Amino acid sequence: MSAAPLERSPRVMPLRSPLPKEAPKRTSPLRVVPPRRSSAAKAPFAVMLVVLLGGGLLGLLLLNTLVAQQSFSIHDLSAKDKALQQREQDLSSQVQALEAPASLAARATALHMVPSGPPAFLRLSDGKVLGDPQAGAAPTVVKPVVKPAAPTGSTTWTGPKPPTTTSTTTVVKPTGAHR
Amino acid sequence: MRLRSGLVILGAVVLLLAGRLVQLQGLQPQAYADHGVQQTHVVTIPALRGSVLDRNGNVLALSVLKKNVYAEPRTIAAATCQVGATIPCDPQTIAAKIAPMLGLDTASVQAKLSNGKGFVYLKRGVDPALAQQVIDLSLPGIGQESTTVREHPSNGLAAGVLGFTNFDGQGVAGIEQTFDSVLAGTPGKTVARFDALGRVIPTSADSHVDPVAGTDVQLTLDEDLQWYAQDLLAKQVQATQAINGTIVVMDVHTGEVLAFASAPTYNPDNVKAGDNPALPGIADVYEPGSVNKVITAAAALQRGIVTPSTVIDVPPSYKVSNTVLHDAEKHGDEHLTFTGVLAKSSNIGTVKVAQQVGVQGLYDTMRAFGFGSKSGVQLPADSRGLLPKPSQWSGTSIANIPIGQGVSTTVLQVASVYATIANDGVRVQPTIVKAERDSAGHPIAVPAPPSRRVVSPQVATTIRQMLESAVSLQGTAPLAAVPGYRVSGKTGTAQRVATSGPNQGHYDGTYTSSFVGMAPADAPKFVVAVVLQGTGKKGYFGGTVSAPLFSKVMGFALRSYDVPPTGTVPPRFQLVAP
Repeated sequence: MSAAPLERSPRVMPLRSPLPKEAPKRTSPLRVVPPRRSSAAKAPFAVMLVVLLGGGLLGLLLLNTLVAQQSFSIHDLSAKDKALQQREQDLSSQVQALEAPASLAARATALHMVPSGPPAFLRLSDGKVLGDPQAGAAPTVVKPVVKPAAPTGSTTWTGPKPPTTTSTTTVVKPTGAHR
Repeated sequence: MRLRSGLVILGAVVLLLAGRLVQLQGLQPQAYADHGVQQTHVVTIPALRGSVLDRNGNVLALSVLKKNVYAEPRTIAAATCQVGATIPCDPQTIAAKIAPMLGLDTASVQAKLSNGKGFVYLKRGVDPALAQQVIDLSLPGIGQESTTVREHPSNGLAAGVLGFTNFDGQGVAGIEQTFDSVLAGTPGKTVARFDALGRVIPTSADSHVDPVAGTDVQLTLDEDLQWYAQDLLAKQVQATQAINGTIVVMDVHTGEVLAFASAPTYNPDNVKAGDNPALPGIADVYEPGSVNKVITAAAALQRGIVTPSTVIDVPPSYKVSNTVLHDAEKHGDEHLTFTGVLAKSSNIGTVKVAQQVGVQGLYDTMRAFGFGSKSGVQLPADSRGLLPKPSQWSGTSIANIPIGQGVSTTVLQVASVYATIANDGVRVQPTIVKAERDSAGHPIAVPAPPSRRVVSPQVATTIRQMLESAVSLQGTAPLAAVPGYRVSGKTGTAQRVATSGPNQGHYDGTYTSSFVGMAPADAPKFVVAVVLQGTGKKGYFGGTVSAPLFSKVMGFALRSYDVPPTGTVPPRFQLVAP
């Protein structure tokens, strides 16, 4: 605001007195400055912007695709994991069913095995034989091989023909004091 | 000119979008809305229920992952079937396709599919591979959900102890009920958006909570011993046409129940109406009969009223208040030693001694042995039995209760009495749970069961020696002998009070046949109680019906646990006064 009166005064002057004739011939000390040319080229900047934008877009797309891709493989792998877990579950179920006492007993009977009789124990401290050992009772009826109550799998006896009666087996065990 | 063409293009685009909007919102809005909604799911992930294991870690009950195959009849009804479509789309063709796969009746499946409901289960507990085959058919309105199913690899072994779970996986009987909160675990869930192929859309906001598997419970049962006892018992109950039977095997030092067999039993995988899930050995009460004479003897010995050799005059009949007592076998005037009274199971001799002990003394001793209170085992329906207070005893009670009439107990309570005698007079509360196991399989020990002294070691030893004579050839149960071992035990043959039917509460002409004993007699390791209820059609004496089972089960237990005979000679007792 303070500069306004100073600017106004030269413009007011020509109204009071005509312009001096020699004035146009004088070379003015002021002239129009040509617009300053930018030394930097415009093209590289635009290219850079396009590359940045395009690159960003592409990167985003790539990232998205990757994430999606990984999500799909996670899905596939977890499906595989589930299937394998299922298989493990099935197999351990089968093992447990085969391990069950009833199943073992049926298979043993099928192999013409019989429960053992009472054992004898040898006491090491004095060499005394304790107990009243008895042979397991021979199976009363020799039936054809009974199929055991197992879910899967079959046992075929490929070894030598099992004896129809068992021989006397004496299990000798030390007493607790010597263990 | 350029402005105008730009306006035209803009107008065309706006028109296109508007048209699409009308198509989406105006023509089939519901279909698209449904499509959008279906893509967000909350999937509940069931927690695997903990397993029940035996003392050696063998699995008695476990949960496995299965699928429930369901149908949405309304969706099927709304499905638009194309002419000549290859995929079945109406109830009839869908049923014809999937019923054989699931092993179901086609007509009933078709009825379910066309019942107009929103949701109906077609089959529960389907093998996941099979369920996937059904799902892969891409039938409208047919789906699957995850579930867990309880399996029993040992085929119903110890079913009465284990109990079972209902369709929702909650334990409703046995160990499954008592330890439901321990076994159950916590279900997890996933909230996520899925694409058309059921894959999680990765950038969708979702949340996931992993399920926490339940804790395993390890029992004190021995799978092999349990099977052996259960197998024998089932055959004997059938052979004697008894109503039911129970065998309890206990470790006398720890109170651990090694086997708890009952017959008839049921299939926990397929519980039917009429199956009795309660374990008769703890839920049913009965009059213990002669096995109760041991408590009378303990009370008298502990108070110094008699010694094993005290001579007791046993007349042919004996009047107490307004009842006249007889012995099982007719005899003249006898002079038995107290050991003879127990060995020959004389009612008259026992009551004469009981009169000297007195009502309060008998009551206190029975309470101390655990009668009239819950056994404390970790199973539901643990009955107290019935022990009248001294004030409730009538004049004839002193002639009944000492010989096991007018008092009701469970098999486990009786087994516990003998375990107390076997454990030198210290009663250890029966227990059936050894430990809980966390998800990593580490055992979390349960506190040791409480114990208390009931009679002195000397009295316990004396009773064990006296009870050896019962198993001798002169006693009531020579068939209970285990070759090579010294065995102590007592038969019980009592008239049975019917627990149901028209004779409920009265003697119904059947019997309770029992044998309870321990071995080796001079250093007992196990107590085995064998009780058959409702015998009488084919034998009923405890010494012939129950004692042979005792011999076999005890022999099996001793062999299994490598218990050697003690090699000692039983003391000779005079049964009849010289």
